[in-house]
Amino acid sequence: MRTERRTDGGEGDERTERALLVRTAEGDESAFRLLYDRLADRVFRYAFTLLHDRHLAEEVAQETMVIVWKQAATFEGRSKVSTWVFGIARFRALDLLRKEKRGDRVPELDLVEPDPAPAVESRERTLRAIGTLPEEQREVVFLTFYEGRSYGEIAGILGIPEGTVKSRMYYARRSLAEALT
Amino acid sequence: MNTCEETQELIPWYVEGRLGPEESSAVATHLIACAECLREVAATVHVRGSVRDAFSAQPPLPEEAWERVSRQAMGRRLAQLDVGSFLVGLRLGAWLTRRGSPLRADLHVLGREVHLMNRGKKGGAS
Ligand SMILES: [Zn+2]
Repeated sequence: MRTERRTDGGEGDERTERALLVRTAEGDESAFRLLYDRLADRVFRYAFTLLHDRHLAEEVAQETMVIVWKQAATFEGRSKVSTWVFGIARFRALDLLRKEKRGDRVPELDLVEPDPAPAVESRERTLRAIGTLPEEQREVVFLTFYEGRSYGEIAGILGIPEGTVKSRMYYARRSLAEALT
Repeated sequence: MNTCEETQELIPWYVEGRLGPEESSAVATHLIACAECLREVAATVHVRGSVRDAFSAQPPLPEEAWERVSRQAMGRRLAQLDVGSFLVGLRLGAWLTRRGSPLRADLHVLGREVHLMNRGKKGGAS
């Protein structure tokens, strides 16, 4: 069961994930399962943010975790484990996106059942607002507010300068604040 | 002191608690003196709450994904029957899903693999 943990944890989490990755590289299946439990759902949600398609996002999450199993020994330790994994997922997701691109896709984000409960209504409004952001802003919003990542880590995952991360966030936050107030 | 622009760029990570001590105190110092940026902080707290709630409400990765990953990654073999393997190298292996339905079975005869059955689509749903 997934608890509401701060997804991008502190140094303790990173130490644990590195240890699990080392054991995964040695072929330790139980270590890989633990790593999977820590990362797979987050990778799935990130991929969904990029792709708006649950099946494709599942595919990306699965592929990414298989790559983690196979390539664990190649991790060089220059970033956090989760940054490395998210980078792989992003690459796979964008690759799929290029292949799947047929005109403008309708975001699956707003295919939520209409529900009159006020909490649900406001959630739908938020999802719609997120859905209208350009993809490049949307992922920064996800990585900051859901993953709790620093702008430095986001720059690492996206392979862009920190200043670009900040400015994408700046515009995204403006649009969201406008849509949600 | 930071300008409003510098401060506002950092506000999301200030709210998130993901700034280094220096940047964080620079933002805090600016906020004491600037009502405009303080309003931005309040708005960002609101946005962050809504966004987290919305992302969290999305359905999680289905449990079955693990089966596919472990099958692809580790060729997970859940059942194996050795039939006199020390004599003729005969071994029957079956790959099962967690629900117990066979996906693939093959027979190893003297080191050669003979596929008996394969119901699992590669990487697809079963
Ligand atoms: Zn200011």
